[in-house]
Amino acid sequence: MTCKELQQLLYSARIEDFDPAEREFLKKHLADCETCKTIFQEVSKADRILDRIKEATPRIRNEHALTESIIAAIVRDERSLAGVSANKFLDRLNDIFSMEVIRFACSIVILLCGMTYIFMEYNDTKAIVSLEQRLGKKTEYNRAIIFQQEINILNFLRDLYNLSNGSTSSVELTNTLVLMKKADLQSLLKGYKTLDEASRVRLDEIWDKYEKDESSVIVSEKNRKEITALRNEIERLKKELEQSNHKEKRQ
Amino acid sequence: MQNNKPADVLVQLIEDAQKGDVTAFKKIVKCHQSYAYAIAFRFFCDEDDAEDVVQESFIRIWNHLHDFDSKMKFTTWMYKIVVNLCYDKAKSNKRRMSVFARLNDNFSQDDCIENTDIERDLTNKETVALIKHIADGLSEKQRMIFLLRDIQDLTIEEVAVITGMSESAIKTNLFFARQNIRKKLARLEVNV
Repeated sequence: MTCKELQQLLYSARIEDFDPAEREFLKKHLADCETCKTIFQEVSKADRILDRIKEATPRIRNEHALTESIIAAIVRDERSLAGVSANKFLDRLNDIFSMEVIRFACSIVILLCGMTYIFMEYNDTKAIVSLEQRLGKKTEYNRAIIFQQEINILNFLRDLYNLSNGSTSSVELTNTLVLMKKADLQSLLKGYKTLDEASRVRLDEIWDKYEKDESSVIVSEKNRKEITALRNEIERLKKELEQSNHKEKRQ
Repeated sequence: MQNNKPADVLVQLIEDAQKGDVTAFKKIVKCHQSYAYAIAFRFFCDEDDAEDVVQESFIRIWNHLHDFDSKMKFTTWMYKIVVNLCYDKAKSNKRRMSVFARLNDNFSQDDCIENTDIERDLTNKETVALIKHIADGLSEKQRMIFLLRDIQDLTIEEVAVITGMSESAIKTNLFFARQNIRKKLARLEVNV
């Protein structure tokens, strides 16, 4: 090994990385060569400085603050990612509703729903106005009272049904009216007496509606007979009530 | 858990963090941020840049924790991310101003290590001055390889994994870096 080669090795490799043969050569060579000895001393000094740099571990100004800022950034990112997925969903919805066909179909559905609602409201209002006219007491019976009467009738019929412990089979005539079978006629008639006048008129109204609008109800011939019998009983009872009222007035 | 080896504890913490446990990840950050900071600080010689890189590194680690291969040492994987981010940040810094020009600009006579007594502990400021001095003239790759191998004491194999370079390329770069640095340090008039 020449001086130049040794000097290059000294500058580029760490002494501890030298193999035994290189160490032996170095030891002998340094005793004879002043130039290489000077370079060896310089490199040794350089290595001592590097050791100091190695030992001087850089210190974070505020370790706790750095940890907290990292965790805060992660939590913030997680939240914004959740927001992104929510935005993605909204974007998808936006894409769907930006299609002309979808918008047209939705408009038609909303229009039909609106018209159906208005039609139903109109029918209800018409029925109420008609009832008000029949009662002839517009000032006394407002819409709220009429609805309350419907509820009274419904509750009355439900109570009858519950009193029979569910043993009574029933025929559904309208959305709100449940009629008992002939076997429970007595109970129904008894209950009929407890209704106020307006509720009775409303019940009659429902009866009328049922009779006129059979297409909306599926009733067997057997049930029809039972219901007709029930109607007759109610009519009879009404007359009895009128007679008894008449008697009371005379007395 | 207290009786477990530190390596087992780390494996458990990584598994918990992979399931989304932020508390477990916080413990990993606490244990490893100083190692990440040491590399970044020695590379940039700037506390703000180093802290930025450390923060960005751990965010990236959190986001890619499910990609972590348990066959690899966690620190090696972490160093790989830190090193890549150091390069990225150096690039963005270069767009504003040359990193080396900035190092030279900041390297005032007050920071000079001519009269430094290196027998005592070096402060961050003195370390910065020394590294700035010896790193001047080295490429980013040479500087990083020198830091990882000779300052962080990693093996050539680990440096190869971290930098993604071949072992022979690392040895070549290390040869030039050491030669350059030792010549500079040898000429330095300090009390050692």
